[in-house]
Amino acid sequence: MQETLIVQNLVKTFELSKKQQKIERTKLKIKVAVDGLSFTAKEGEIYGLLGPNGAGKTTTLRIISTLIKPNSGEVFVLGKSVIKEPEKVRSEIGFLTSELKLEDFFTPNYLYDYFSDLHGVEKSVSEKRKTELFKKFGIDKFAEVKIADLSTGMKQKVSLVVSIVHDPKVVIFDEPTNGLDVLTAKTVTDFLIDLKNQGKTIIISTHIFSLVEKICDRVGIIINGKMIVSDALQTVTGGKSLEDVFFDIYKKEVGEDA
Amino acid sequence: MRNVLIIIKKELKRFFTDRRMLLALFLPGIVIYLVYSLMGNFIGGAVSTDKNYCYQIGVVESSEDLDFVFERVSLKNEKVEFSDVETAKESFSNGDVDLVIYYQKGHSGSMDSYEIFYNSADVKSTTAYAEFAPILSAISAEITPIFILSATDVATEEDVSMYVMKMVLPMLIMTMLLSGCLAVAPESIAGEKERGTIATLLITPIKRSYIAIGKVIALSITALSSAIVSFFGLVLSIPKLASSAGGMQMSLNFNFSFLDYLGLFIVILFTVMCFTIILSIISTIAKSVKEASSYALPVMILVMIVGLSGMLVGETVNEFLCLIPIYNTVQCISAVFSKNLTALMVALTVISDLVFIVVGVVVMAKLFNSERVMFSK
Ligand SMILES: Nc1ncnc2c1ncn2[C@@H]1O[C@H](COP(=O)(O)OP(=O)(O)O)[C@@H](O)[C@H]1O
Ligand SMILES: [Mg+2]
Repeated sequence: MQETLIVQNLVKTFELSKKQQKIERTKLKIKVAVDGLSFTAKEGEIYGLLGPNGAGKTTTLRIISTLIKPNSGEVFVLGKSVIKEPEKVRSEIGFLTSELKLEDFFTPNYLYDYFSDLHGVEKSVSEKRKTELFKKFGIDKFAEVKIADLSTGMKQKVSLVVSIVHDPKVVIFDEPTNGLDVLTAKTVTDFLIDLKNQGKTIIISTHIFSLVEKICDRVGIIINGKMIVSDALQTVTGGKSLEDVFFDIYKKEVGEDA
Repeated sequence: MRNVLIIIKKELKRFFTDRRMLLALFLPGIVIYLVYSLMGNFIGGAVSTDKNYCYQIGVVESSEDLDFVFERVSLKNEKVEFSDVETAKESFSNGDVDLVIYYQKGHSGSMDSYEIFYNSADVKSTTAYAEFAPILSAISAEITPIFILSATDVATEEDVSMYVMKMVLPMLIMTMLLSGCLAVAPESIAGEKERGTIATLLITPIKRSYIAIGKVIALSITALSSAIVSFFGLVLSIPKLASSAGGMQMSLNFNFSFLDYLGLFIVILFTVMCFTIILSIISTIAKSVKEASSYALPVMILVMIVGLSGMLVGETVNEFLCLIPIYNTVQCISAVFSKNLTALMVALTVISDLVFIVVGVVVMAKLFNSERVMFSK
């Protein structure tokens, strides 16, 4: 299988403001969020970035999606560099995170067409795809209701659909089931498996062990911005539960006080 | 280019279908019109309460023709006869008479004429003039010898009313243009940042500079249409306000030529774009709508000060001052009102504004590419 995503030695630091220093309880001016991180993902698989809060998962995904630039290191999406050709990378990926919001003022229908247009999807293709996706996620029932008047779950579904208007080859989801009710969460995970079966590359980040065990083919464990292991799920667990394996690793990395 | 259009279309839809937004955009213009008209009527009422006023009409060398004119005039008046023009003029400048009419015999070859003296800065004089002049000219055909009617307005540049208008108008117009931009730019850029909707746009394959350009164009169009409504609100209400407050409409001549209007329009167009760029940059740097609005306050004050500098613009305009963006707007508006707007001024204004706009857009694109600016928390 082809390696569609190659992440090499990513480093990302943030300058902390006074306020952030207080929140992080540190005197350091610089926070190393991602620290020399590497991994690869192939087509037709779901790759899970697993790690506790603050491990650097979201930061890594934001770099892959070209929203922010790394201090050093490189990412190639289908052979295109996120640093040199960010626009091309963006047209190959669909990125979904809670950070990306939709404008309250518009309807799902309008926003779908708008983003479809921006991605340069042909009108007939776009219409067909819209009908399918809206039906699959039940958006057809509230397609003409302003985002402002939708529930959180409905908004999530619209955000998801909008992020993949252009049928991207690489789909990146940050905490895909966070904040969703069980039914919507199931729709989303089923959909991810669907995409995988279509041959897409899917990268998710999560701190939920069961989600990784359920849908991921390969997993990378991140702690403090470093990739500790990155391998096939079975190889990593070796018959034990992922949770046990994770805490073994965590103790080794951080110490007994975990 | 196609992508820029998509963004413009969406932004315009956002502004022009939102009732709250429309209110913010167009209410100022409507309010200006209503308030000024009401004020005009109110002041007008106060001035014209003296219905029994007897207009004092100075006449040098009364004649049958003039008697004929006086018969036809419906205004309550009293004819004050003078023996020579000089004493009549003196009396006029003292305010003893409101109008002076005298007959001037033509010198070798030139035709005889009736001369009228009035002061457009004085409401009584203007009223008397408005009454007498048409009648005098209407009967000109019936009387011999044929004469020409010439009127002299003694109102000078120093007349306060005129002076105030010339001073205040550029500032009013500039403030209006700016408030149009202010109604939309912070909302559209800082607002989108604050609500996290801009990030959704930033992960589309569109170049960030195109997003910036699309926003600026859409904001300019919106701000301009708001400015146009405000502008008409002002222009339509000024005569009402002015006529009642002292006959200003005569001296502040609104009979602009088509070219004057065209020049004014072009200048306003580019000014709005400059303002949009300034406020867009501010709104890009700001973290929230509130922050953007507070950053915009000093800009508003600065623009008002620059606007007031209109009173320093003398009769002789230095055309090359038009190379300073924003200040050139004041120059041009003042020039329009004193009727000496030149093509060179407009051209220099357009060129310097264009440079300003291009530099601004480049800065905007840079800011849009900076993660520290776009994702500041
Ligand atoms: N914009 C930022 N400024 C300062 N620190 C940040 C910023 N974004 C993330 N961080 C810090 O970087 C670390 C990694 O964050 P993140 O990638 O969001 O972790 P995760 O998604 O794994 O929970 C955290 O300590 C976080 O506080
Ligand atoms: Mg996260």
